[in-house]
Amino acid sequence: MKRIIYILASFFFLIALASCQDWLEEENHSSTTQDFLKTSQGFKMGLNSVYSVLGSMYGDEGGIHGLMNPGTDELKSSTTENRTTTLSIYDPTRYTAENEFLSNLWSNAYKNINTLNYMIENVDNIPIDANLTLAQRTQYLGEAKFMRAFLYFNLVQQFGDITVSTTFNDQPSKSAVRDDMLKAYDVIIQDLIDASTECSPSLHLNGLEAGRASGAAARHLLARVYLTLGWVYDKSSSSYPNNSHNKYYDPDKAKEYYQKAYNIASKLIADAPSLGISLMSSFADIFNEENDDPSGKNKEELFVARMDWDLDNTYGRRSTLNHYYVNGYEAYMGERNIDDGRCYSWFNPNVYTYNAFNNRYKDTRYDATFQKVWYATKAQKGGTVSYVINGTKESFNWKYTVVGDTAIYYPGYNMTADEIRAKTQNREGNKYLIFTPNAYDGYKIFPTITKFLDRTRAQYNDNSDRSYIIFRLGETYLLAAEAAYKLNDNENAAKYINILRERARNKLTSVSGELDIKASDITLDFILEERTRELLAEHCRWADLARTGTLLTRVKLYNDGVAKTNIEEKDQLRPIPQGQINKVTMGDPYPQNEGW
Amino acid sequence: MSTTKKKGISEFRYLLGLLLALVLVQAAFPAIAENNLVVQQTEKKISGTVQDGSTPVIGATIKVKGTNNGTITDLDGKYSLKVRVGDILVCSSVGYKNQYFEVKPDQSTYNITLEEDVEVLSEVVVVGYGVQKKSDITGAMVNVSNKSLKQAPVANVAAALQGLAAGVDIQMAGGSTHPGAVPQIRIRGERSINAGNDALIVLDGIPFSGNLNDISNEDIESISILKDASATAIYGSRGANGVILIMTKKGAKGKPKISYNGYYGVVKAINKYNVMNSKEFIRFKQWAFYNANTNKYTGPDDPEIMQINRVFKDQTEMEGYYAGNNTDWQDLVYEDGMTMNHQLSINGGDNKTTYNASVSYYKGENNYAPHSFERMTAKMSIDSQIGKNVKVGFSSLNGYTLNNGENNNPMDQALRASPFATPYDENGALINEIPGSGGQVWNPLLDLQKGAVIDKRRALSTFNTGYVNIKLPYGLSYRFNGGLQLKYETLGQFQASLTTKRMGAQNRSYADHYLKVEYTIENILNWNRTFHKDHNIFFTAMQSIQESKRDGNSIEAYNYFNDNIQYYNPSPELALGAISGGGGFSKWRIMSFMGRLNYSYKEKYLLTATIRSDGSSRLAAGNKWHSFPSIALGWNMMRENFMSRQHVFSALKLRASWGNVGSTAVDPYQTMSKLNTNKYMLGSSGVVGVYPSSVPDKSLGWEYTETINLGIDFGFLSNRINGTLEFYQQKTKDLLLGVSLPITSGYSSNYLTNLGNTRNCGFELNISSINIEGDGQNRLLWSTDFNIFTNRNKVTSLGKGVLKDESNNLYVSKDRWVIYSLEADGLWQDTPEDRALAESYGYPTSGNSSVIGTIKIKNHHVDYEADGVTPKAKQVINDDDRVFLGKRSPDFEGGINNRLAYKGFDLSFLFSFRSGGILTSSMHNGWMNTMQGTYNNLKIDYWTPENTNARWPKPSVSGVSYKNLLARYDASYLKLRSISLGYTIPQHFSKKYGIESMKIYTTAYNLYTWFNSQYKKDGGIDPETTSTVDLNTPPTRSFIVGINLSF
Repeated sequence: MKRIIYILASFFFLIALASCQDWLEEENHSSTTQDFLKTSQGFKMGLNSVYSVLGSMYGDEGGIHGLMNPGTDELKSSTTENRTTTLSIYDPTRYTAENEFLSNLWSNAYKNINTLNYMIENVDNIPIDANLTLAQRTQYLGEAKFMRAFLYFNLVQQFGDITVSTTFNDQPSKSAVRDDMLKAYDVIIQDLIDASTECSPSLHLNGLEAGRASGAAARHLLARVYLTLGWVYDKSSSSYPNNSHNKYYDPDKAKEYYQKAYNIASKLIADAPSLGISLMSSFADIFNEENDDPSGKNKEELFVARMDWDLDNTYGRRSTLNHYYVNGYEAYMGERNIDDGRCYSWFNPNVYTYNAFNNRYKDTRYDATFQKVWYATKAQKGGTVSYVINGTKESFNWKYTVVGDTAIYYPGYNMTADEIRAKTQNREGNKYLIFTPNAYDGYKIFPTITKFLDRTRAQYNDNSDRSYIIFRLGETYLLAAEAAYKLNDNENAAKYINILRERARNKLTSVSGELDIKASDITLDFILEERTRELLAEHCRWADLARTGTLLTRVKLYNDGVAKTNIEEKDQLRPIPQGQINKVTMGDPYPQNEGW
Repeated sequence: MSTTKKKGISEFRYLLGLLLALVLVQAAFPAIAENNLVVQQTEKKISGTVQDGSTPVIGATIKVKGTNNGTITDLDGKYSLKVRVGDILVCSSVGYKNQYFEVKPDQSTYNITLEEDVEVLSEVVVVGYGVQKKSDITGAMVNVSNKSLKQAPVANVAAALQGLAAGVDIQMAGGSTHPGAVPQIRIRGERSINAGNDALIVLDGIPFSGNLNDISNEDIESISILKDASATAIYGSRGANGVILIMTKKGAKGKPKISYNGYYGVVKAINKYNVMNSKEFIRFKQWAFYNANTNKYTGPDDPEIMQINRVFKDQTEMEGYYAGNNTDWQDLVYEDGMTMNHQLSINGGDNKTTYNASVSYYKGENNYAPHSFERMTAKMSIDSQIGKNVKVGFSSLNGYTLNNGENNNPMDQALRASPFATPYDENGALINEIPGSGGQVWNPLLDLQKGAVIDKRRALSTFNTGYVNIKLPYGLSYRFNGGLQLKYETLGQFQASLTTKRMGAQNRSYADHYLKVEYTIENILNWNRTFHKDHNIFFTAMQSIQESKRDGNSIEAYNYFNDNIQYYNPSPELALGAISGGGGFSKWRIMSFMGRLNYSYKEKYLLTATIRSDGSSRLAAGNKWHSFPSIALGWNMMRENFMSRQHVFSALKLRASWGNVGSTAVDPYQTMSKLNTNKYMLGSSGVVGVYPSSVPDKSLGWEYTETINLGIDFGFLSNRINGTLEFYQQKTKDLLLGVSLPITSGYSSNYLTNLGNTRNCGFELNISSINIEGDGQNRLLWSTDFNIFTNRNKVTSLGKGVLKDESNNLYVSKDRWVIYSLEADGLWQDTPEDRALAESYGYPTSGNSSVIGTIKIKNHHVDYEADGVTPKAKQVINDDDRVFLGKRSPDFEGGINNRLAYKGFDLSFLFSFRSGGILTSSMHNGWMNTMQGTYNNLKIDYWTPENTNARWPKPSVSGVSYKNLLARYDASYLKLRSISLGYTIPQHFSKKYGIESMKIYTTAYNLYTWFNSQYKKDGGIDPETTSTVDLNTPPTRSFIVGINLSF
C-alpha cells in the first residue's frame, strides 16, 4: 500500500514541477496586441484610427459643434433643453467642468495624440515592405503630424494651457503637468511645417484618397495657427484686461506672426490652381450634396471629415449634424419628411445673424444658407396662428388642402399684417403660413439652416451620411484678409474679401463688382460679419471670437438668449474637464482655469 | 517582478512538501497506538463485524460504557477488543443510532448491525469536499433545507433563498421584475471593487459557473452556505465571496417511490405606475410651458399658450386633448400572467445501488405578455457500491430554458405615451407615433402584435458529475471527482420597423450563440484515524484542475424585406440593410493543491487547518500562484465536566477562525496590451484603424481577503431554542482595482491593478425556536426561525496618499457605495430670504430662468476670500458642496420564518426585512419624469405658486435640474414574502387509493410590503433592489395552489 502513496506523491510532484507553468499560459483569439503597431500594416492602421476620430468630432451629438456654434453672436440654443444647452447659455449653475462636450474633445484628442506619438517616434523602425513604400511612409508621417497639430490646436484654442507630450506613453501614469500654451504652439507649428512638405501637396493630386490630410490642409491650418498666435501676442492688458493672453503681449511678435499668417495664406491662394484647388463657382455648390466626397467635385474643400454611410455602411458612419438647425415645421405640416429634416430645433440664429445677411437681392448667401419654403405633405385642417406685428397681435388662418402646395413661407423680412393677408388669406388652395422675423420665437419658429441637410436618407429621422468640410479655400481668403487687416494692409484685405463676394454675387440681379467693398470699409467687425455670411455654422465661430478677443463683447451685444446675461470673463476659456483633474492623483494637482 | 515570481513558486513547493511529510509521518502512528491497547488489563477478547445492512461500517467506535476503553472498526468493518464479562459495550458511528450490548461469558463474536439514525443524519452537514458532523464544525456556515426552499414558487433557488439565511443578502438587480431574472447573491457584503462579488457555487461537489435558472428547485436537497475562511479556504482563490454548496437529491434505499409535485397560479401586478391622466397632464404641460416663457405670457391659463408649438406640439395632439381622450396605456398593455411547476420523480434502490431521477417543467410570467420564462429539466443520479471498497456514482442534470423578452422593456414608451392619444385610428388600425411626442414615443401596442418584437434566449445545459471512491488500508480513502459542464445558449432578436423599438427605422435582427465547455478534475485523498482513543484526525489532500472555455459569434442585420424571416436567416438576399458580425473566445484555467487537517480531542477541542495553493491563468506571469492558509479552533464547552452541573445551556460551542481567501474574478487577457479597432472611410473604401486602448499591469496578482470569525453555537431548554451568533471582520487587500488614468496619459480605459484595501465587518444571529412543542397532529407545533445580520463596509486604502477616486466612487474610510453628492435643501421659495440668498449666488429670481420653484442646493462649502477667514460675498454652488449623504447598503436585514402544524394542517409565513440604506429610483430621474411636459410624466407633487410645499420643483419645457437629488429614498422595508397553507390528507385515507402521501397547499407570494411613505407617495411600488430601482414592468404578486403526491 505504501507503493500507492508513493505513486500518488510522485504524481503530485510531477504536475507541480513539470507542467503547471505552461498549463496556465493564456490563449487569446479575440484581440490584437500592441506589437502589431510596429509592423508596416500596423503603422498604416494606426493612422486610420486617428482619422476615425473626425467622425466623432464632427458627426456625434457630443462632438465639437456644441463648442463652436451656439453660445456665440451667431447662434443660440433653442428654448427647449438639448445637450448643448448648459454650455451654450453659459448656465451659471449647470455649466461646469463636468460638461460632456469638453471631456469628449479632451479625450478624443489625447487618446489619438498618444497613437500619433508612437507613429512619429517610431517611424524609422517601421519596415518598408510590400505593404508600405518609403514614399507612403513619409506621406503617412506627414499626415500623422498634421493630425497631431490639428488635435493640439483644438485643445489649445478651448483650454489655453494644456499637457503637451510628443512621446508615446506605455506607462499607467497618474500624474500630468499643464504646460504653457506656447509649448503646444511650438509643437503645432513644427508639425504643420513638416506636414506641408511630407504630405501629398493636395487632396486633388496624386490620387490621394478623399479624407486624408494634404500639404494644402496643413498650410491652411498653419495660416490659422499663425493668425491665432498673432492675436495672442496682440492683446495688451490695458485693452484686454481679463484675457489670459495678455501676459504674452508683444506687438513685435504679433506682427511677425500676422505676417507669417498672411504669407502662408496668400501663398496657398496663389498656389491653389497648381494644386487643383479652386473656389466653387457658386456659393450654393459648396454644400450641394452632389459635390460631396468622394465625388472629387468639390474643389474648394481642403480637409474633410468622412461619414459616407451610403457608400459603405460597414465602415461609413452617420452624423446628426443635419438635425440641429431644423425648425419645428412638423407641428403645422402634421409630420416630418425627408427633405425638410428632423426637427431637433437645437440652434437658431440671433437677430444679428439675419441682419448680417444684408444685400440679399444681390448676395446669394442668404438664400443658399436658409430655407424659405415648405410644401404640404398632407392635408391639415389648420387653425389660427397669431403673432405680434408692430405692437398688435395679428391672427392668421391656415389650412392645407393641396399636397405639394406651399405650406409655410419664411420670407426673411418683416411684412405688415395686410401684406400677409393679401398673400395667403384669400388664396385658393392652401392658406399657407407666413412667418416673418416678427414671428421668430427662439423655440420652433425660425428658418432652417440648410447647409448640412441630407435629402438622400431612407427615413425622416435618419442621421446624415454626408461628409463634413472642416477647412475650405474660402476661409483661406478670410484668413489672409484678417492677417492683412492686422498688418494695416486694408487694400489686400479688401482684395481677398471681394473675391469671395464676387463669387457670392447674384449674377442675374447685379453686375460684376457690384458687391465689392472698399479698403476703407474694412474693420474687425466687418471681417467678423463677413465670416458670418460666409461661414455660418461651420464650426469655427467660438474660436474666431476667442481669437479676436471679442467673445464677451459680441455675445453680450448680439446673443438674443440668456447667454448674453450669463457670460462671464472666465468663459473666454473652457474649464479643464473635471475627470482630468480628478484622475491626476499623483504629483501636483492638475490646475483648473481661472474662475472655474 | 522576477523576485516575486520565485517567491511564489518556492512558497508553494514548500507547502506541498510539508503536506506530504505530514502524510508520511502520520502513517507510522498506528503501530504505536496499538501497542498502548495491548498493555491494558483484560479478562476476555471479543471480536466481530459492524455492518450497515450488508456493507461493513468503517471507523465505527466500540467502547465500554463509562470508560475510555474502546476501539474502532477497520476497513472490513472488523474489530477486536479486550473486555470484562458484564461490560456494557456501545457501538457508535456518525449517522447511526448507538447500539448497546452486554458481554456474555460464553460469546466472543458480536456482529452488530447499525441502524441509520435519521435525526443524527440531519446533524451531518455538507462542507467543502466532504461532510462533517455539525458539532465538529469550526467554520461559519448556514444550512437551508429543501423544506424552506419550497415555500417560494419562484424560478430559481436564489430567489427561494431570500430571507432564509443570516449573512446572505439576496436582491434583484435593479429591482428586475422579469420572471426569468436571477437575483444577486452577496455573502457578507461586497469586498471587491473590480473583481466580482459573486459567491462560488458548488453543485454536487463541482464548481458551477452556470445560471441558477438551469436547475429545478425541486431537485435540490439542501444548501450549505460557507461564510468564513475556515469553511471557504479550501476553495482558496474563489472562496473570498463565500461558497454556496448545493446538493441535489440522491437515491435512497427502498422500493421505487414515485412522486408528483406541482402547482399552478396567477401573477398580478401589485399596482400600476402612477402617471398623469388627461386633466392632470394638460395642467402640467401648461405649467411647463409657462414656466419657461414667463416673460411672454400671463400664466398657465393664458389662452395664448394653448396653441401648436406652444403647449401642443402638433395639431393631432391638440385635437386629441380637445376630443376629451383619456387613454390609460397601462391598462392596454398589462395582462395577468400565470406560473406553474410540475415535477415527476422516482427514487429507490437496493443495498448496492440507489437511484433518483426526475423530469420537471416550470413556467413563470409577469403581467406583460412578452415576458416569460420556461424551463424543462431532466435529472438522474445513480450511486453504486462495487465490491467492498469501491463506490461509484454518476449524476446528470440537464436543462433547457427559454427566456422571452429579457431585453424588451415596454415601460419607457408605455408610460410616456400621452393620454390625449388613442391607440387606434378611425379605421381601427393601430396608430404609429403618439401625437405630440415628436416621433419619440410610439404606440406601445405595436409591440404586442405577433412577431413584431421577438427577444428569445434559449439555453441548453448539461451538468455531469461522477466519482469513484476507493477505500484503502490504514484509514485512507481515495476519491476521484470529475465534472463536465456544457452550455449552449442562443439569443434571437427581431424588431419590426413599425414598433416602439425601431420607430419606423429599418427592421433589425440580432442573433448570437455561444458554447461553453468547462471541466473539473479532482483527486482527493482522505485519511481518518483515531489514536490514543481521544485523538481523531481527519486529513484531506486534494489536487485539481479546472478549465473553462467559451466561444461564440453574433450577427446583426437590418432591413429584411419580409418580417417573417425574423432572425433566422440574416443573409444579404433577405436582409437588404447592413449586416455585421462579432464574436469572441475566452479561456481560463485554474490549478490547485489543497490540504486540510481536522483534529479533535475528545470531540471537545477542535482544530481545522487548511492550506490551498491556486494558480490562475488570468494573472500575470510570476504572480499566477498564491497560497491561502486558514486555521480554526472550536471548543465544545458542553462536553466539559463543569458544564454538566448547569441546566441553562443544552449546547454551547465557541469557534474562532482566521484565514486567507482569494479572488481571481477578472476577465482573461487583462495582462496583455491590447489594440482596439475602429473604422473609417478613406477614398471610396473602408479602412480599419487600430489604437492602443489599454495599458496593462504586467504584474497583476491576486486579490485576497483575510477573515477573522468568532462564533458561538448555543442551545437552551434541551435545544428548544438554539442558534448561532457570529462576528467577523474581513480585510480585502491588493484589490483588483480599475484605476482610471488622466486622459492625458492617452488611455481612457481603466488600468487594472492591485491597489487598495476594503474592510467588512458585521455580526449575524440566527435563532430557531420551538415555541409550542407539539407533535403537529394532536397538539399544535409552532416553530420560528429568525435571522438578523449586519455588514459594515469601508474602503480602507486606495494606495499611498490617495484619499479618493471619484470616477469609481471610492472614498477612503467610507462605504464602497457611499453616496457623495450635492444635497437638496427643499425648493427655492418666493420669500425675501430665498430671493436674497439666490441672488447672492448670482441666480436669477425673475424671468424665464428664475430659480424660484427649482431645487435648492445646500451650500456645504463656504468659499472664503484669500485671507481664508472672510466668507466671500458671492458664494458658489459647485462640486465642493457635495457631502456624504449615506450609503446604499442597509444597516441591518434579516428574515423571520414561522411554521405552525396541527391536525394535518400546516401554515408557514416568511417575512424579510431591511433597514436603512438609500434607494435610488432611476424612474424618478429618467425619461418618465423629465418634468418638461413633452411626454406624459409620473404623477408627482410639483411646485406651483399655489402649491409651494411640493416635494418636486416646477416643471419647465427648458428642463429641470437636480432631479437626481430627489430620486433618493429610504430603502427600508418589511415584506411578507410568502404565506402558505397546506393540508396533508391522512394516510389511512389516502392509502385506500394507493397514495402514500398527499398534500395540497396554497401560497401567496410577495403579498405585501411596508416601506417608506415618501417613496410610496411618489409612485414607488416595491423598494426591493440591489441599489437602484430601474424602470421595469410593475412588481407582481402571485397566488398559487399546489399538490404533492407520492405513490
